[in-house]
Amino acid sequence: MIVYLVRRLGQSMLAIMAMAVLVFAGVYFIGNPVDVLINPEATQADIIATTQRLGLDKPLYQQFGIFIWNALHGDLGTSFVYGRPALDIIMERLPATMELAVVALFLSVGIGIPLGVWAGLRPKSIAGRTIMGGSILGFSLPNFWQGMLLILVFAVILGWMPAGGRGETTEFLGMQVSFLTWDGLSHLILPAINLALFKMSLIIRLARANTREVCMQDYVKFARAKGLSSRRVVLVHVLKNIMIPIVTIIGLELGSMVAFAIVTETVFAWPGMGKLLIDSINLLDRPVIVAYLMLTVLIIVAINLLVDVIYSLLDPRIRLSEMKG
Amino acid sequence: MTKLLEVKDLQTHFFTRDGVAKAVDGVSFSLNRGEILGLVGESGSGKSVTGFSILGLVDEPGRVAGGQIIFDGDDLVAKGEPLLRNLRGKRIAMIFQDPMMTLNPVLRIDTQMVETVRAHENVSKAEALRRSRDALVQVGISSPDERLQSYPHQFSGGMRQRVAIAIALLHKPDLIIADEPTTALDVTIQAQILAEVQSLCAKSGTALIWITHDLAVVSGLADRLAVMYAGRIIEEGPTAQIIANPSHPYTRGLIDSVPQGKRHGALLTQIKGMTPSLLKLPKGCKFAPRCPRADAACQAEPALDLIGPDRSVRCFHPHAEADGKAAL
Amino acid sequence: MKALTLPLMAGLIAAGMTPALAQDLSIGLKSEATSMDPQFHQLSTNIQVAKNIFEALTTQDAVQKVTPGLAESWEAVDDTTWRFKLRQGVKFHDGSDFTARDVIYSFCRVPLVENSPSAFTIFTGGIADMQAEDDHTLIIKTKATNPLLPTDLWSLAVLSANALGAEDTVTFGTDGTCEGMGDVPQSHAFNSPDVAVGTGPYKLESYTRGSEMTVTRFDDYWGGKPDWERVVMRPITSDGPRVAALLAGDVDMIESPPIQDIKRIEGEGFHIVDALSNRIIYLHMQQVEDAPGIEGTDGKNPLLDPRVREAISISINREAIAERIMGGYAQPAGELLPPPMFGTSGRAVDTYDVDRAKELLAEAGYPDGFTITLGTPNDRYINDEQVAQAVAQMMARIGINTNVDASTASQFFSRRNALEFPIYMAGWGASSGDMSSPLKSLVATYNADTGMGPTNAGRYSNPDMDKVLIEAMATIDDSKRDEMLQQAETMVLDDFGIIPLHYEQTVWAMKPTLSYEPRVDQYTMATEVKPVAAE
Repeated sequence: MIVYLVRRLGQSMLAIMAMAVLVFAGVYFIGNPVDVLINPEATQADIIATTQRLGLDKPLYQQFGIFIWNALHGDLGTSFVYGRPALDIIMERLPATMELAVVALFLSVGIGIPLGVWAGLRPKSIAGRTIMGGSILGFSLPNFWQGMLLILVFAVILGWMPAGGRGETTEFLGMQVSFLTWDGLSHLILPAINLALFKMSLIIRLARANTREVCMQDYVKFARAKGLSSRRVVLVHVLKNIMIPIVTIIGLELGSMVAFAIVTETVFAWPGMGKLLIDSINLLDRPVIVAYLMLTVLIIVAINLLVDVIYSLLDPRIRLSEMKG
Repeated sequence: MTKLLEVKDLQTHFFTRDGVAKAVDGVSFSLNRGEILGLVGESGSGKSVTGFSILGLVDEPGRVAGGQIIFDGDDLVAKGEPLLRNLRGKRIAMIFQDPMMTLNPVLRIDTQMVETVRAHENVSKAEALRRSRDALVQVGISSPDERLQSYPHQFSGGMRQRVAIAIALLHKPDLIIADEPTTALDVTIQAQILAEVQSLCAKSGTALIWITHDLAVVSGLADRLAVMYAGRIIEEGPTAQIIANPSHPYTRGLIDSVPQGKRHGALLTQIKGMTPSLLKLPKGCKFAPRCPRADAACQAEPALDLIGPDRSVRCFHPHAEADGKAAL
Repeated sequence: MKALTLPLMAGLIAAGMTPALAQDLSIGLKSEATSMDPQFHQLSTNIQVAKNIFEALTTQDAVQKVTPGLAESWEAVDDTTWRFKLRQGVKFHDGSDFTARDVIYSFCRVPLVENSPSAFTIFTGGIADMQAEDDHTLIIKTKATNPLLPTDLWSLAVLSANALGAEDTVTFGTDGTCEGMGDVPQSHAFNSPDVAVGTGPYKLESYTRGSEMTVTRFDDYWGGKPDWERVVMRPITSDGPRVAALLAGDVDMIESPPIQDIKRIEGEGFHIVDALSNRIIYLHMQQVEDAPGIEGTDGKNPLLDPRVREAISISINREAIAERIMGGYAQPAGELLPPPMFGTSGRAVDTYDVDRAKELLAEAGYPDGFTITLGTPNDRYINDEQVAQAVAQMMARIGINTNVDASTASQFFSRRNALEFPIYMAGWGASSGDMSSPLKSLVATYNADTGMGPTNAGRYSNPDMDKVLIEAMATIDDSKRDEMLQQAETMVLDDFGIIPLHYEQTVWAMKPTLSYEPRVDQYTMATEVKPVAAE
């Protein structure tokens, strides 16, 4: 187990390094941040001074070297735009995105799995067909459009929820979160639904397919032959088996939800990391872009590791064979 | 003494897009308490479906379309689900063919046994665990406590089947339906399981329907045999009599096809042709196309005729006793 | 959508009728402030947000005319010396008095601000010395003659020396050599109301980065009690959601609704305010021997010939662009700033004349036209790419086959500054509110040492015009300077050195219970938002 973890950590380090190199080179080749930031009435002298101050006059490999050296000391660079450590700026917004992603995850799992299992148990019923039809809409309609539609219906026309922004926050485990107040929740619901819809559709289809497959297995028949109630058969025998592929997908999706909730955050003016990323790209704020992507890789890797651990807990066949090998 | 089980003219049909497949087409038999019936036939004969029909476990697109299944006075076809669920696992238990897939791979053995106990009786978990442990001992599994904590994939095939049998016996059912329980096992294990099942049934007076395609296996075990072909019973009667003097050409063919091991290099006897598709059954006697004795008369449907006090056969040209037997 | 209008109206009327916490105002901004430190970044959002809290010695009114702010009056004692009389009785938010020491401290802090992406030293660099004659009189000496000193001063926020921990006496020194500064707080300290202390009409209550900023009324404001008890400013950068926020009643007022939505917003009963801005959209042409991106001319650069340049200008139907592409929210431009701003001559818009344009091209030796690439950003100015496409089509009609090369702003600026475009479209907002701004940056001869023409990526060079411009920039006398600037501008435009297209109009949308005094500099000031008098 330890060896396995160490190996995975080593792989993650490699991934992070590779990401840093790619981003560094990529942003360098896109354009010159100074052109974007500086007051157009500034003199050449000012431009040169700013370039030097940001360290952009040095050759690329040197800039990269300096960056790595600082990174090892915990300093991921200072934002060109905000003038503060890039990591601080990102961490400030992390709770907002995390909150959104986690709530969206709960929604998509909490609604997706029951609907999917239902559709899998009664595929030819009206409910079953409606669920499947609905799920197609969920992932073919563009995210942006869905978001705008939600705003239009629930905020503008019905006026039930606000049209965007984050609600009141309170302190929880050292972070500012907004789901503990009613105001916060009312701001959180629409963007969470928007973010969740795509994943929900995915989970519905996956749950349905797996449920159909599992229901055809002998052990389900055997469970019924033993006289178990349908509820137990579904909730214990079927559910545990379909969870394995679903957990894997959820893990992958959670990572991407946290990292790339950009569209949702933009549409709902949600002050999270995704929006920060887009703005930083537009302004060529390289330190923030690099720090953000590296953090993202870290998060995704951590989640994948967690998924693997959960996977082995769910499926006893996996755990043992790995330990033996 | 009333019969434990009476199946009358059971019809189980599969409603597919290509037509209706009559997997079980008018099957009737009966079973006394403590009796062992061998239900024999090739794949596609409808034997497994018959077994599932009794417990109401037929999968879509099939369902029981007619007939009666009278178990201890209740018609299971008419009464349906709540009664069936009550009976399943408690008074009628089932053992399946592939033990690996019978046990849920992600649940522990004790979970799967305890839930069976508690599905029918309101006992504490500790009590259910105790009964499960005893059941494992009963089927000859050593170190039962360790086994209870394990998962199915940690067992060998034979062990898993014993566990399945143990589960079947938890509530001391009146009837066990065993659907090819030893087909997937090694020959030696097969013999062991057979012996154990026999002794258990004798001890507890449990009736048994043993479904198989292997006559050899069932001949030493069953009191009575019923041979199925294309959804119907084509011969029925006491085992010893049928084995000694098979009447239906198909039954004779089955017995003859068993390799004898007597003469090295001797040709195996086989029944020509293949079982017909249930969607394209021939008119008249279903076996006629493959039968060496078929003639024009066989264009009509033969009925199940009594040819002895306890024996029947569905054929226009059954073998007579004088034809002798093949070695078995 | 029509079926929704009725319930929508009902909902909105209901929303509008709620007196709300009657004296609160919420505004949806189109971009985010990057810091509460008014000396950190020259970003229009930072500036407009800061102006609620901090003030400067001078003020620019709605048409960018310089008027007294914290300085009651001033005079130029000589070419490089100015005396400012500071206003008496002004209090900071923490109750302390405003004196000359605060001004000196504020100017001294500018070069000490770290990590500024676009520093304010551009305004303080030219100051040679500052002395306080007494608590309310300030003498400023400039290194060179700077007639625009009062205009520049508008950009320099006055901070509270006490709140920022300065010593009792602060002495000015150039380039960050001031004494008595104490421990200068950096930009992130300004998130706290204890540090962000100004003299403005509102006090900082809270600032949640990326989320919103709240200010509350400063009752002791020297200019009289402000209208609103609380003002909340929320950045909603995406156009659609910002409009939705207004329609849903989440905010009372928004900046820059997309032109396509204006009709609808008005239809729902909201109030639209629009005004001409100081932003000119223009075409610049590379006027050097080797210009890239031109074909069909045997290697010659046709843009060097003023007849070709004139032809391009008169081939463009500015009216049509203003009407159809800008939905009426633009005004065709004849010069680089809309009259009557300082230095404008009232020059007429070039007349649209396709036939004459073709004649001119033929005269110049290009009867069959040529092929050229037009560079433009696609996310910076209002409908920029569409305008460029229209221009390209119009140029094609006179035989100049034009390919539009549109890219995102950051790309566009880099490429433009690297002189990649033979002709490009861009915008310019004159922050000083006078003609020297566009002339100096856009058409003065490019000179890295003197800092002239930094945004002159067409490398247009007219030495005669340069002379007049430089002289004007050193002339303190307003009317003389006005004349000289007009002259310089006329020289450039007669030569077709640059082609003005249109002035953008700024649009604000708000609840019908509000009114707004629009500004040429496009800023949204809470102080200018007033409740409509009840009927």
